[in-house]
Amino acid sequence: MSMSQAPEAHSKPLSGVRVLDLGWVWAGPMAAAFLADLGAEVIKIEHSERLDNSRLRGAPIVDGKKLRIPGKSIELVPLFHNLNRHKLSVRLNIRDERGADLFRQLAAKSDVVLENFTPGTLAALGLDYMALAREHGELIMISLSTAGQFGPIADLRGYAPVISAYCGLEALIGYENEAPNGMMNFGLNDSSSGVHALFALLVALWHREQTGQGQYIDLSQMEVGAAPLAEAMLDFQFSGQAPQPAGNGHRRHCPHGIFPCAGDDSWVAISIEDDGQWPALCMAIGKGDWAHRADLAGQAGRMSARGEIEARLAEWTAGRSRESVLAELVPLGVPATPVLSVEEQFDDAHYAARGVRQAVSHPIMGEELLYRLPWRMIATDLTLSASSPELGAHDAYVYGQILGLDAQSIERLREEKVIY
Amino acid sequence: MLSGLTVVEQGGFVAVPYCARLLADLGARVIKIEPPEGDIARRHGPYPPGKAGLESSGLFAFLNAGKESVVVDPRDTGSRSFLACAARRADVWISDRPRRALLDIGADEETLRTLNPRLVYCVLSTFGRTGPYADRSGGSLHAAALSGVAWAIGAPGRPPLSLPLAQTDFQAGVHAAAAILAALLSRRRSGVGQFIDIAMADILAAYAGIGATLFINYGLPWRREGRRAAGSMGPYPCGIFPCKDGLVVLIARTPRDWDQFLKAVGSPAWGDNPRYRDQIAMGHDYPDEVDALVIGELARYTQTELFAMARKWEFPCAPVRQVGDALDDAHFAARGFFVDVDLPGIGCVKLPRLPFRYSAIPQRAFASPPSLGQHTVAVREELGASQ
Repeated sequence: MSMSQAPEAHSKPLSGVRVLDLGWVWAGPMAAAFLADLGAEVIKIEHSERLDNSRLRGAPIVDGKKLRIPGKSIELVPLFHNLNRHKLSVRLNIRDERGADLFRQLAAKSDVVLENFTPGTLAALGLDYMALAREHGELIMISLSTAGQFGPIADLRGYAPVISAYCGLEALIGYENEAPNGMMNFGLNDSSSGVHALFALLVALWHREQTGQGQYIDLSQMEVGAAPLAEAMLDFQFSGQAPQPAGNGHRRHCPHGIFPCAGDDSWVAISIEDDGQWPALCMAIGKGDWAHRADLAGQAGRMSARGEIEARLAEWTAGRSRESVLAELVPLGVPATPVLSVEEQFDDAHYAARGVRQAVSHPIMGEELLYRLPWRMIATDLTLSASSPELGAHDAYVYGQILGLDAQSIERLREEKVIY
Repeated sequence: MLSGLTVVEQGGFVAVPYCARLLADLGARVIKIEPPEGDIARRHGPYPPGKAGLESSGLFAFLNAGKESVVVDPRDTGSRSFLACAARRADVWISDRPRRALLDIGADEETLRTLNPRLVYCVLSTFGRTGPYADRSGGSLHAAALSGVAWAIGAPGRPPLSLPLAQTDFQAGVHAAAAILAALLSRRRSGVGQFIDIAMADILAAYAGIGATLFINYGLPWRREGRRAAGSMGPYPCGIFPCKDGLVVLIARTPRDWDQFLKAVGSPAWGDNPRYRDQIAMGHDYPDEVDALVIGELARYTQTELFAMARKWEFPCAPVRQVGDALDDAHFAARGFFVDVDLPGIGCVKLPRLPFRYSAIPQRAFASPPSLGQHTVAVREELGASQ
C-alpha cells in the first residue's frame, strides 16, 4: 500500500490507502464512506456547479424550527453527513481540461478510484480506467452504475426503486393473495450496492497485495438487486409460476408473522423456528391442547393448519399491549420482538448498547448522531472520527501537499473556476 | 484472488453460506461443516417437481457451489478434536451457532483463537453478541421488525411487512464477507486475527435509519402508505402505479423529473395548472387527486412503452416485473449474468453470477454443490483428525 499517511495512522485495515471518490447520490458515496470507516483517506471530488444531490435536500428542522445558516444550507443535510462521514472534500471541475489533468495527477498518487456516473461519462473526459491505468498499473477502479458498463440498458439512470422494480424484488413484497405492494420507500439497493462494492474492492486490494496488480471492477446495481433473488428465480424455473407476495409468511415456519396488539398501530413479530419453542407458545395463548397434538408437533403439520394457528395467535395478541405480549413470550424463549418505528429505533436500548449510531462533532451542526459501519470488530476501531467535510475544506491539503502546487497556482485555478 | 485462504463454514440457510460462497467464488477453499441432518437449506427447497430431497434443493445448490462438505456430529466424542484440527488449519471461521452451542462443542471464539491466533472468527446472528437482545432467538423477520424497516412497508392500518426470501440474510452475508476481508488485510500487518460480530438487526437499522434521514429530519413521517410515498416522502409523485398492462414505479420527485414525465405523456393541459407544480403540496395535501391524473396518463401505455419513454425522456420509471422476466431479459443476457448450469439431482437451471466483474480476477465456473458429507473422509485424513 502507498505510504501516504503518517505511520501512527497505520492501525486500521485501510490505513495508507488513498481513495478518489467521484461517487454521488447514495450507492457510490456509501461505498466510499465504508472505505473511510476502515481507515482509507477518501477524497471526495466535488464541483460547485454540479453538487452531489444529497447536499441539496435542504436544512433539517431542529427543535421545531428549520435550521437557517445563510450560505451553509449544503452543509446541513443529515443524509449527506451519514453518506460522507470522515471524508476529505476538494472542489474540482473535471470537465475542464486542466481539471481533468489535476485529476490524473491525483489518480497517479492514489490507490482506488470510485465512480457511479452514467457509463461513458469519464471516458469522454479521458479519465476512464484504461487512461488512468496506463501510467499506474496498481490502480484499482470501480464503477457502480445502475445497470453496469455494457448491455442494452447500460445508459439507464434511476433510483433504487427503479432497480428493485426491474429485477423483480418489488413484485415479491405485499400481502398474500394480493397484487404487489412494494417497499420502494427505503433504498435497500443503494445500501446493498454500497456494501457489495466494498467487498469487491477489498478483494481487489487483497489481490494487489499478492500480485502487485491493479484492476477494473464493473459492478451493476441491477445485478446486486437480482442475485439475492435466486430462490424466487429457481422457484419460477421449477414450477413455471411466478412467485407472488407472501405477506410475512415463511416457506417452512409457522406461525411466522406480524401480529396486532392493543392500541394504535402497535405490532409484534412472532415466529416459531424450531419445534422446541412450540409448546411454550401454545400454553401462553391458552391452547395447551395444541402442544399435545402430534399433527402440530412439526413445522409441516403446523404449516397445514397455518390459518387456524395464526388467527388464534392474532386474537390473543390483539387483546394485549405490545409490552405484555413480549413480557409473556420472551421469557419462554419464543422469538418475539416489537415492531419499532424508526423513531423508536433511535431510542432503543439494544441499538444504543451496540453503538449503531455514534455522536460525532460537525463543524456547523455541533454534535450529531451518525450511523457507523454496522460491524463490531474486537481488534479494529470502527469509531467515527469526523462527520462530513465542508465543500472544498481540503483544497489546500490535497492540491498543496499531495500535488505540491503553490498557493498562487491554487488561487489562480480557483479564479479560473478549475478548482471550483 | 483469494486462493490460498482456507475458510471453515459452520452455519446454514443463507447468511453464512452466502458469505462463504462470495469467498469461494473468488478462489478461497471453503470447508462446510454440516450436522448429520444437513444444512437447513437442503430442506428448504425449492425443488424440481417431484424431487424433494437433501440433494436437490435449488437454494442449497446456489449458495454452496464449489464447497467441500464435512459432516460433524456434535454428539460424537471426536467432533471436538476435528474442529480443533480444522481451526488450526483455517484462516477464517464463520459461524451462526449460538454462543452456548459453540461452548458446548469447544468451538467458541476464545478456544479456537487460542489454538490459532491468526484465525479471523466471524459470528453472524440476528441481534449480535452484546446488548439486551444478545443471544435471543429470532430471524430476519425480527431484524426487520426491530430496525424500523417493517414499520414503513405495507398499507396504512394493516400489518407492517418484512423483507421477503431471506433478503436480510443476504445482506448479513455480504457484510460479513467484507468484514472478513478487512480483518485479513489487518492481519497482514498485525500478524493476528480477530473476532467479528455481525448482526442482521444492526445492518437493517443502519439502512432504515439513513433512509429515514430523508424524511423525519424535515418533519415528514416515516410510515406505511401502501404503494406510494406521499406525505411521508416530500415531493410527489413517488410510488407504484397501474398502467395499461401491469404496474410501474414512478419517482418524479424533482421538478425536472416531473417535467420530463409530463412531456413524455404529451404535455397534458392539467400539467400547467399551478396546483400540479407544487410537488410538496401534491404529496402532502391532495395525493389522491394527483394519483387519478397520473394513472389516467399511465393507463394509455404498456410497461414496455413506459420504460422506453422513461429512457428517452429521462425520468425515473420502470416496470414492476416478475423475477421470471429477469431470466429472459436481453440486458442480463448481454452481460452473461445468468449462467446455465446442469446440476446433479436438479437438472439444468439458470443461476445468477456475482453482481460485479473484475478485469484481473477470473470468476470461477459454476461448480456443483457438495453432497452431504461428500468430503468427510478426505478432509479428516488431510487434517489428521481421527474418525
